[in-house]
Amino acid sequence: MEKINIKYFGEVAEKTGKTMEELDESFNTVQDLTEYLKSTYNLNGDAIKIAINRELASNDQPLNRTDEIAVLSPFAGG
Amino acid sequence: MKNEERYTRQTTLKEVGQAGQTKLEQAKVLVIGAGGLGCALLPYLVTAGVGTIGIVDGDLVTISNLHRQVLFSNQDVEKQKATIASQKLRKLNPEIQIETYPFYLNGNNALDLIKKYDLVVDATDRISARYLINDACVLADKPFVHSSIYKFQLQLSVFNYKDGPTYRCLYPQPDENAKSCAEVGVMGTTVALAGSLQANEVIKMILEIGKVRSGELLIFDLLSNEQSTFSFKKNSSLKITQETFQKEHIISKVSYAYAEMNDHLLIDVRETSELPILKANHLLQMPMSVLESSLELIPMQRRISLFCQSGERSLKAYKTLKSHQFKDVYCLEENAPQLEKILSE
Repeated sequence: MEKINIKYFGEVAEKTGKTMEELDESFNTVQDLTEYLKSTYNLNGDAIKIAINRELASNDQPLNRTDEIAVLSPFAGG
Repeated sequence: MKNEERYTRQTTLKEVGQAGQTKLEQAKVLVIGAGGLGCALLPYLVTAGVGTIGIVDGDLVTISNLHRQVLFSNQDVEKQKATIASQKLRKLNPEIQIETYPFYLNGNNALDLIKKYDLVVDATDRISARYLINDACVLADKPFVHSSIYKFQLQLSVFNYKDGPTYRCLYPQPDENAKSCAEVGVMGTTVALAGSLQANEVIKMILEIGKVRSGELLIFDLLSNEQSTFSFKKNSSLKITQETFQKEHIISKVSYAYAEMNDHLLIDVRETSELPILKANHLLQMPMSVLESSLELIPMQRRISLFCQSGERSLKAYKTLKSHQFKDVYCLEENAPQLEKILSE
């Protein structure tokens, strides 16, 4: 079975300790993935945004294993 | 007396031409922040001949700014960033108008300032400022170019352009814990690139050429050289009105002397380990970390004045109390270090 591919950016990558990973989990929706990230990496679920195939996704959007996932968060610096 | 020759290299481009140069001359751009991003993008807007440029920044130059804020030098330390930047930029191009606003953008001045310009550049380094700029731009119907930085990565997008998505469509809620350059560090080259990308979007919008990065977020990682683009749509359920603006961005501030005279309950929202330790009449310690779970300990009928170490957390606490129906809430103009002086006198 294919694994799910996730990319992390900015502070999120700092917190997960990696810029990408392959997960052997399955998630029905974006919300499920967000819950997983919150509990695994202690991320602030309100502050992160999930993109599926380079498009920002809403919480109820379904996830497929072949989707390219990215986890984004606002940057503060300037 | 205008010197046409100044712009010949850019007017030679068919995308610019004399007509484009006239558009640049007539454009009014407000740059909020004269730090890393501002220092990178301002010289190019100025030298391209953007006719009117406003610079807003209440900060002073520090020695630790100099490695990336290239408009400043050693003798400028402790001087106003907006003022010094304007002086240097006028030498780059004396033919344009530069307006200097040496104070911070806030809920009380944002709308009036933004209304005077055609487009806005967010060159700030605070999350709260981005929401203020966003909401004011939505109300004033002006587009704004955003960039922000985390270590070697930059984000870039244009918001509220031709009724396009806004910053809130991308990130609906402020994440007040996101770390700034001061906390995590930054290279001058990263802000330089981010700033010139912003200036490039500004120029395209003025000239009405190319593709404007609206509805699209660029994340550029300068270590891996990887560029990723994410698209997003306008969220029409998000409504920004005068009323929501007022609630979120306009805070009531009072001086310690006023609060004391009017018997306000002072609330210190710093964590208990923070110095200086302050002792005063009517002083309650209620660290930000427990505030929301301890609201019942705050008498609702009292007038309340909040403070912390820098004003950032007291602003957050102010919003928390307001959202829980506390009516008479203020932020102190003074923060803990100033209060220590006042209280010891």
